[in-house]
Amino acid sequence: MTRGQFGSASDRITNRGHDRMLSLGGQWKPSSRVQIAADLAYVRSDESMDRILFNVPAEVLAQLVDSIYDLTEAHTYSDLKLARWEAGLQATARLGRGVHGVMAYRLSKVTDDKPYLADLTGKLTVLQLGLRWTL
Amino acid sequence: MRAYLEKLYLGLESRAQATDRQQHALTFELGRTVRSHTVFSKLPHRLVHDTLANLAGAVSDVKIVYATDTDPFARYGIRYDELRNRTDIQLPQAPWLVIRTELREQWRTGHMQSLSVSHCYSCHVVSQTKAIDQHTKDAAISARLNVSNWLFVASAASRDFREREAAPTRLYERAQHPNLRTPLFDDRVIFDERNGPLPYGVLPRQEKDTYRFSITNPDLLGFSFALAYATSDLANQHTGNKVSYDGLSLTLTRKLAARTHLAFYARAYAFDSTDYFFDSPEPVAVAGPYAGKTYRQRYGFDPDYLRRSALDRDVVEGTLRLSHLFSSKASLTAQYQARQIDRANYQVSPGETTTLEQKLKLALMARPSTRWSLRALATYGDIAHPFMALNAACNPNPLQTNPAPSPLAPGSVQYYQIHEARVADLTASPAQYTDLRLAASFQVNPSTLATLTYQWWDGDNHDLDLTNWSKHTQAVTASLTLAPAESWQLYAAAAYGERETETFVCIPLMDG
Repeated sequence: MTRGQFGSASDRITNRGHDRMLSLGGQWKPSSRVQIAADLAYVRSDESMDRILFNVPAEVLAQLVDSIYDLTEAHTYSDLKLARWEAGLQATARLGRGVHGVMAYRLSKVTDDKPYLADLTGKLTVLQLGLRWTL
Repeated sequence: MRAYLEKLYLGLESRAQATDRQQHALTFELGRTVRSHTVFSKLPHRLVHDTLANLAGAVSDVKIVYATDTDPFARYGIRYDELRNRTDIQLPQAPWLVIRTELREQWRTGHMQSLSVSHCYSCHVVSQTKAIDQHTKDAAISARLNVSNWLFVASAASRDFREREAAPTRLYERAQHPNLRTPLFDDRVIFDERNGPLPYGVLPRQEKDTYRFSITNPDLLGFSFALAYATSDLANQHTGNKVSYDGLSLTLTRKLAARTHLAFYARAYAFDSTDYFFDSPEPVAVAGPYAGKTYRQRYGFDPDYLRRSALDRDVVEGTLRLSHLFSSKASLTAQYQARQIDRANYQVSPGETTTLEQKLKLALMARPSTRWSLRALATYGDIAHPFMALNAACNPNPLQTNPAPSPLAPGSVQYYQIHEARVADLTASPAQYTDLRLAASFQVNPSTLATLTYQWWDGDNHDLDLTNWSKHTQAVTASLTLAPAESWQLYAAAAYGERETETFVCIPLMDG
């Protein structure tokens, strides 16, 4: 059986997003052979939308007994909140004529407070050691 | 590693962070006659895996929407490999001619999520793992001829794209009534279980040929002059459908006075695609009151259609820019841009296929003192008949207020009737907008620089019939750079941004 078609229900909604970022860093050359650099950053982003409220007349709901028009939780699928800390330290030393040693350490930590398709929470640590030789 | 020999330069750079994250480059030059640069890089692309949790809706009746993930723990991703080479040949006997060859190969291999949906007896979304093995090959050759003040460049490029993995297949459910499980819908579903496993998400082999020609002269009757023409053909090797592009551009600039500069740019281009006629199968009903008749015979609805691309268009655009330097401390630039898009097959307003975009920009740069630097940019855009989907949602008036014993019974509204009754225009494009950008730098002392920027964008579209669309963004950044000593450099920066989009949602109130 088909219970009918009673037009459509609509609503106006607003999506809102915010981004905040703070970063600090610097470089220091304690001698002509050594250079040290450090940086620190914090980023926070969020995205949200209004709750969808469809104004469906009671007499229509009484006829469409098999249907649900309550989408008041649909906005939670777009309720995103993400924070990231990032810190890095890099040192370069001239070891000899044309030879440089490079050491770098980077830590990145992501906190996903409202995961949806994937939980992006995690920590990434990168340590680099290198030798640069210029002929 | 770099080596400079008498007539040979050799450069090798290699970086390997993991087995799937590497870059290797080889550069060599033979005198100045042959100059070649080759790069191979690989990196991973991680892809999402939609849990389909939001499709778990159900109602008390048997008419349901549900989802099945055939590989729920899969972690999707693609490995991206690219090899790129560019070689220039310039003979000492003909230094005015450079022949360049460019080769590029790209491989994308891995797995991604693929979704398919069935219709009748229910909406069943199935997630499967789809294997990816895509190969793109580009080859190009060009000639640069420099004669006196004239530079002529001609090039030909060819691209070949292939998906070497087979498309995923699905055995769709039998089309039948959701409650009675009887074959009442045979006249309105053109494929189901009886067709066996069917492929979906098919990526056809594609070939693209592009030809370009350009002439430039830095001083032609006082103007800097550039004229360019480009044409390309993209062909779907499976269907034979084609998309062609032809474009012509002209750039003229000249100094009007010692401190005044004029620039003009114009371009005209067109897209043209193959029309495609879809001749729908029209099965007959095997049960119900209209057994033996097709859907067209029952309702008069014609399911065949001629597909004509909304991309087909003729576009003419132009920019006129006037810059004036008041002094060494201040300059003003005024720019007017216009673009007319005439679509061949798509209306953006009833009876109207043409969009006219006009944009006016004013940019001011000033250094009121040796310590201050100021920049301001204001843009106002006006778009007549911006892109929108006409009558794409919402039918405010009821179409069937009384229940019917089945969707086949007389008086039961049909989907195509709901589709035709939609009245709301939808868009995410503004009809007018304002963009304001400000930046100021202050040299606090010889070793300290402070910078502040602000951006504000506000646009809306009130040309829609049922609702309005609007968007507003603003962002501010502040930074401080210090060099307290020759061996010290410090910086601090902060940024804040916010955005707000107001839009419209609409769903049909129906059962059936």
